[in-house]
Amino acid sequence: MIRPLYICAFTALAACTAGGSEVAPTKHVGAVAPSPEHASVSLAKPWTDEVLAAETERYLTDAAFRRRVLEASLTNPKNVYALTRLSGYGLEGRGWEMLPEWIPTTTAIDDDYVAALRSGVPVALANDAKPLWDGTKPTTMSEWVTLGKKVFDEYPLRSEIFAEHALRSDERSERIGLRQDENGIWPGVVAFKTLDGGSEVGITCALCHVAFEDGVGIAGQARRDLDYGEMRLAYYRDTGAELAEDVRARMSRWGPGRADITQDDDEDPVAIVDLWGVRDHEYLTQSGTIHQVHPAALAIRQETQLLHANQERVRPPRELAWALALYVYSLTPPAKAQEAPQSAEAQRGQVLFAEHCEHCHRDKNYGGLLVAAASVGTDPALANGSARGTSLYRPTPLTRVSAAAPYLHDGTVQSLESLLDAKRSVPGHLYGSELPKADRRALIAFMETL
Amino acid sequence: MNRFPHAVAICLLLASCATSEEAKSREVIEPTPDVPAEPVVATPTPTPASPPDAGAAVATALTPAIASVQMAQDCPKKTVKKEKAKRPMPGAPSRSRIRPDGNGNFNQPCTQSSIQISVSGVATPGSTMAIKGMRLLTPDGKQVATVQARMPTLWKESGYVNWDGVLTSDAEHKASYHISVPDWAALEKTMGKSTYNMMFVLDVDVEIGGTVTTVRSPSFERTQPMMIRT
Repeated sequence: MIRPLYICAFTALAACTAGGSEVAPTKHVGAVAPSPEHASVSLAKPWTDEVLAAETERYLTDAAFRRRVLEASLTNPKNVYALTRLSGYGLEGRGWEMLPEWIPTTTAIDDDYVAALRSGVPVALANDAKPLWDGTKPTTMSEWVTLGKKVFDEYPLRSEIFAEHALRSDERSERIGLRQDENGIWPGVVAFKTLDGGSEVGITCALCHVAFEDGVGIAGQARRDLDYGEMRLAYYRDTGAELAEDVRARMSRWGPGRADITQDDDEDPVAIVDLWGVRDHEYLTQSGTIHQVHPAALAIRQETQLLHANQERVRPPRELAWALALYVYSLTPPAKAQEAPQSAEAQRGQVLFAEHCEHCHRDKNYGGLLVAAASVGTDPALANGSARGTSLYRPTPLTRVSAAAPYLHDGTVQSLESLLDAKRSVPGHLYGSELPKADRRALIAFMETL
Repeated sequence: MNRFPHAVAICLLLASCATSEEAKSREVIEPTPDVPAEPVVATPTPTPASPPDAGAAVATALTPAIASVQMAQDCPKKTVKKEKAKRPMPGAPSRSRIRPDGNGNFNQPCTQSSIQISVSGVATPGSTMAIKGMRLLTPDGKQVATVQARMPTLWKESGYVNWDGVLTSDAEHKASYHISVPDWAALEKTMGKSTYNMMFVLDVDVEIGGTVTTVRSPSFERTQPMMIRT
């Protein structure tokens, strides 16, 4: 027992040190000042696998710690995202803690399932379908990541009749961006046993965060050709089911790679993001809703996301949320074409980037601290929205940015050239657009190496 | 033997009896932090279905807590509609091309509102639990509507199953009920603002073994059902 105690003491000291040694943010405008609670849970970077392993038990077993992390991680404790969590999460004897734990039983969707679906026969789960976790707690990082991948691929976020409808037609599923991977399964959709005993098609994290290249699924890459709005609209169009005209109009404006993921009535769709380098992100979500003060901040984000998405009727076992966080941390982008800027133009672009962009895009992933939405000048609806608003935006991490169009938090700019074009119609983020054309080309040449 | 410990024990016993009696008539449940403190009082309300003698003894040993509330829509009992009864939207494909399921039916998407309640403590088998009333409150504690619960289900192993409200010998019961929603349009007219971007709580009268306890839910927002909740 001495060793775990020693580790706890060490990590506690490390946390204290981290709280005291944070670099003062230069453009961290309007955020909540760090509180003593914030300092008590902050975990110094880098978050190596060993550091993550040492934090596992604290997240899994210490309710008071989880509550402190939640409180410390909410950039704006007054938005709806924060208020619901502060009211429901980490409370002893009440709130979400009292929900039953749910380990879903799922089946991957493959040719057989789709064929049965299209034949019109009501489809049941495979006879050998099992709960996605047998309750055995992982003991190594590799086991945690393996479990996390199962959660990412299989834990249903909700029943999705729209996805089921899309799967009934090759043309429709292809148009919407649902497709098979190299193993013959459709990442992002599963059949699962519902909370009420039925069998339905559900969507998972992989729907938005597995892209395809030459038919091979790339976990962590935003599926930018996923047209989630059209997936829903197609159902209503094809069946004649009722849909309010204003909602129809809003969904038709999303287009591929974008969706409105806030539950309020603000119109603030966002671009689907890549999951590269999340371990090093200071803030999560485009409006910086969550300050990632500790790995548990991401685990709590995912725990409450899975809970929320399933109508708050169940909660996931915390082991699954932690596993999902570790899996997300393990995701790495596809190899770069070149490791460093090699052309003279790209090297010149690197200098220009340092001069014009690095003030905000300054960290390891070329992301950075939050900036005031008003100063960026892009559509402020998300930043000022009641759901997740902070009045701030996060400088987008730029890892593999040349493959990450469309740009800006809401995916409204179609190319890097357009992003650096002062004459574009989409307002805001005009940084670099004042440069001569040759300099802008050099900047793009450099960004293509990130 | 020193008599003092006995005296202390008797005092404690008496005190605990008094506390227990008081609890039967006035149980204050701590409100959630973001709602102004307003005492929520439990009032013993014997009902014909639950004899107060056995039931009341059970009720004091059991603690209800609201785990969660989701308020979106109230779906019709049967959401499956016959396709032929539905007129296609302009521009929709002909009915012959519509094949949503094997029976030619389709589902009108609907997100049912629900409340989840957990009851801790060992009940006398055969005693019952029911929701007797629910009041929707704004963050400042003002009641703006009442809603009703129906279709009780109980968590069993890996899902919710239909439930008659009878408590078993299990130490914990985790129940889920469908709930109705207020007339949002009327409410917005009264309040003069959108109900989507604000928080609510529910005060819920839970009857267990003949005693009604009022408990307050965590805060929740009205969920826009057609948006994606992540």
